[in-house]
Amino acid sequence: MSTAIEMTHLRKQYGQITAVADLSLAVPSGSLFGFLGPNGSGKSTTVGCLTGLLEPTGGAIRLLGEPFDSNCVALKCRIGVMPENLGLFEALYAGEFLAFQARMYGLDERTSRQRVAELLAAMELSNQGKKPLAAFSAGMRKRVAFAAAVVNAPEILFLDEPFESIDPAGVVVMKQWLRHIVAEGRTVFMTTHVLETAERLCDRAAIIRSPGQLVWQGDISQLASGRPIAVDGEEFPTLEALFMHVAGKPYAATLSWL
Amino acid sequence: MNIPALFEIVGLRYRLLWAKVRLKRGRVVLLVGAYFLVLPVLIVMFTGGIGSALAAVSSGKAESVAEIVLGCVYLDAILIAILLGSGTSPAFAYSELRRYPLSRLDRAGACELTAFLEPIWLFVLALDLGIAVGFHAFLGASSLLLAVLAAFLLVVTNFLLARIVSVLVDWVASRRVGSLLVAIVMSLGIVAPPMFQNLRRSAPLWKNRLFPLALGWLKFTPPFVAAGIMTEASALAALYRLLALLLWCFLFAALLALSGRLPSATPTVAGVRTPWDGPCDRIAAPFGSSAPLVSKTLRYYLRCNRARTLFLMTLLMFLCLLFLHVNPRHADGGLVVAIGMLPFVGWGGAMGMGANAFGFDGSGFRRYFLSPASPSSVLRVASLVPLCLSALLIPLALLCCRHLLVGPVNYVVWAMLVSSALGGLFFFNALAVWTSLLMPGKSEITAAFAREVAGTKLVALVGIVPLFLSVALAGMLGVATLVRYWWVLPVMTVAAACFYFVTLGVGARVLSERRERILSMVERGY
Repeated sequence: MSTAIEMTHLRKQYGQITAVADLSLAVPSGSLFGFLGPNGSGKSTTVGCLTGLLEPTGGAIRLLGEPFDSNCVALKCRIGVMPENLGLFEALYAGEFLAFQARMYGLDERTSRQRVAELLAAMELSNQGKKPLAAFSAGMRKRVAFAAAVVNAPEILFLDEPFESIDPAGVVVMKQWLRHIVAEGRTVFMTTHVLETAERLCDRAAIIRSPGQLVWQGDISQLASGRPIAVDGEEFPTLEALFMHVAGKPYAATLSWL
Repeated sequence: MNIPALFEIVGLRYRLLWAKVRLKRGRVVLLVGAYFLVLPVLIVMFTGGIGSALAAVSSGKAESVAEIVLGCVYLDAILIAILLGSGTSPAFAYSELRRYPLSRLDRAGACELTAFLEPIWLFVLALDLGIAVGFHAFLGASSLLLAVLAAFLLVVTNFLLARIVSVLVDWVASRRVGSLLVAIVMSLGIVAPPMFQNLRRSAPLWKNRLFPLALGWLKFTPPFVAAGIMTEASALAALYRLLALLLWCFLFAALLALSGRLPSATPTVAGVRTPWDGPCDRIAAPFGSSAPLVSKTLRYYLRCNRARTLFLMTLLMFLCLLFLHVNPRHADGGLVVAIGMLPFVGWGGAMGMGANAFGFDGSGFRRYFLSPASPSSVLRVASLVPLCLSALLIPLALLCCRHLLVGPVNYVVWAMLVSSALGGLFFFNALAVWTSLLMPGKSEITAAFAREVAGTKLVALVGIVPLFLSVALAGMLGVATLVRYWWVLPVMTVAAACFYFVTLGVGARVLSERRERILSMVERGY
């Protein structure tokens, strides 16, 4: 199986602060990869480096077998991103924004029209009229961002907390699409805090802790069929238990006044 | 009122301001700014006020001069506050404060206080206080306390009226053809004083009938009432006038509260098909791979109340000022003024959004780097769209010159006029690129004249200073000298164009290198 995403000794510093220390990871093609970690562990920073938003301080990135940096315009055409904070142009209408995305990724006029119309219908956004994205609810904004990420039918799809704020019906549809994308041989790289979702949806996962240090990675598909994962001589029946073992710190503080 | 909570919120506003400059040497910059800029300006304003009071007393028409000075300061403060977006909008939205256990009155008080404590109102207060102290010292007016109170209440009414006007401007500008209306009103507001002066001199009806009538009505307005208090010999009469000023405060506060009930202008047309293939896309189509960026930027310009209004205002003001300065009795026929003001046409377009090109994108800014677009094409589009929009005004401005200028408009004159316009266009748009890259700020597209960022203000100031300097210099040199050295203007235009294109080249690298900082500034505001 080929490697879709490969990072070697990835490092990112903001001045004196190290966000990602030394991260090496390989994500095979056709996998639905869960990238997990506590708050502030460097997940979004890693996604930022992998998608060209942030300039890594050190290390190397390869996407789809080719070296990647923020200037790789051709390679960017082959990936889709739903970034942290969604990155929407809030004065545009939903259709305008999706059309902008489609055209930016070089889709021809006919394909753009068709895909935008289909995505608007699928995301139940067709009837929003002249309503700027700034006026959308959090869940609807997330739907728009998801639609924008998939409009170019990417070979790698990066999703930063994709299911947060979306209603259950929307989540079900999105999960179906993600499974379909993976079944087509494409790759999904997803960060999430909802471990149950990752457990049910992802076939592989990596867990990092601050500052961007890999503590575990492996196949988690066996959890769905009830088989535990063995780490350090212990068996973990759920991803949550595994996460707490390798990266979790129980909250020790007791608030007597609460 | 929950006074401690109120001060806590005001304190938060300044802590946030402090946090914004908490970079390397940031605190030092703030201290230097505070001590070496704000304080001297306050002192200059205060002493200027005392000086104008002294001049008024020496002229023998203390009350009349006080009325004129206070009236002009009053109107100018409103105009400047609205144009620069300073001191006309609270640091926190009223709805943002709902999360705190504050009453409605507390929330409103906290909001207004954060807007009132902007430097502009402190400067106006220093000036008015100087006038009050000056009249007490040189005229021996009744009570210093009453005069100081009058100055303070006058600034409060000034602030409240500016807030009301700002809310109305925002509301009107967000309506269909509202931008045009606001542009006309604001242009008239700027050219009104010289227009009235001309009328007073030339029209007997105005001089003999309308002016005294208007003056009678003006006696009841806050600046005139305050002038009366500052120059009043009787303490009792001054006290009555102070009550009138207090009534003005309550009236304006009530009107401000009512203005908050204006219906929202956000168009929400449920059931209407989303239009995404409009004129902007058709205009952008020839730009090839940059077409989506061009159409997106055009849409932002069309939807930005501030940009629309300033765009229209630029031409209207040019027309009005040129019309006022054209003098058929002199051979230059306004040529000097036209050459001095034509760069202003190129400046107007950059002022709307160009000086903070990425500030309106918010978190959308990251799309430029996630999408397959090069930083150079992103910057080119962000700058060329305002440049082209401003360029649209130049033929119209030249047409105004053609019809209004007296005297021969030959090839040399045309070369000077065109060079002046193009030079301003390139220079100010290059400057706008640098402010967009180095001084970006979070901005809202729906706010017409609300909070604006430092970069825009810088371009505004840099634009105004050469405008007046060039007019003054050209006036001193005279038209004959100007025409003799006509070639200087085309040379300067070429230099400005070079500066612009070099800026685009260098700016693309700066954009790529500073993208994380710019993202933080336009997304979070710090």
